[in-house]
Amino acid sequence: MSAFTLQQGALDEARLSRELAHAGAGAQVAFAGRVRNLHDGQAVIRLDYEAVEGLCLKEGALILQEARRRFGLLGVRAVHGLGSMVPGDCAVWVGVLAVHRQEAFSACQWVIDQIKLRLPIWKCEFAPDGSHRWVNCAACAHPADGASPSTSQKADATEAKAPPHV
Amino acid sequence: MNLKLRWVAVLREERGVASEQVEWTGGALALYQDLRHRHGLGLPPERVLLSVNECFVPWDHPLAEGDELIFLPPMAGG
Repeated sequence: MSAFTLQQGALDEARLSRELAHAGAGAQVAFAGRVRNLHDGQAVIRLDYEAVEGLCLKEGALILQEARRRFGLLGVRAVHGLGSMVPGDCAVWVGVLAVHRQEAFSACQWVIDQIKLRLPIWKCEFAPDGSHRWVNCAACAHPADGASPSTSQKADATEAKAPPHV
Repeated sequence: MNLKLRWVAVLREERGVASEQVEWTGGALALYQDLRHRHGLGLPPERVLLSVNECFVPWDHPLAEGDELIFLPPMAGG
């Protein structure tokens, strides 16, 4: 299985965590991004995720390769969910294995930040009154902000700041 | 040349179709600006990234007959 994958629906964190193993790893750090019931003060009852899947898989694989190299990881895995999800669902999961905890913590944070900045994934947020809106991370799409996908980047995306929320 | 356009997320909603074919002789930026004007798309090109044949490319990437273009709104994964 590739280290980065997409799947329909909410993720099974326990299974993903169990599957990530290495006898030499003294540290496993995982991040689970969940659907929240509130965004910018507005109630959310559902999120619909979509992606340009081919582009997303290529860029996701690059992110994980970079993470392995940059942090000397023993293992790394990330999955993003697509389709409809409700509050509490796990929409994105990142797990890393390293010899020691410090590089594991750093790598996990770096990977989720890069996923949010670089992957062509969008979410549409539905309110209880039936209205909806597309959630945009304005910092992501402007090359001048220092973060852009790998093949068109002008700035070093690895130095990009974390986006404001999951 | 004939180009295939795939519309995603908020731009698909604004455009009202998921894909279409267009005849165009200029570059991708001029095409987006033309489509934006004709269909009332909200996002200015500086907030949009370009994909050609499922690769990220700069706006001045040369286009060829049969290319598939996707205009990518600001990303919002996570």
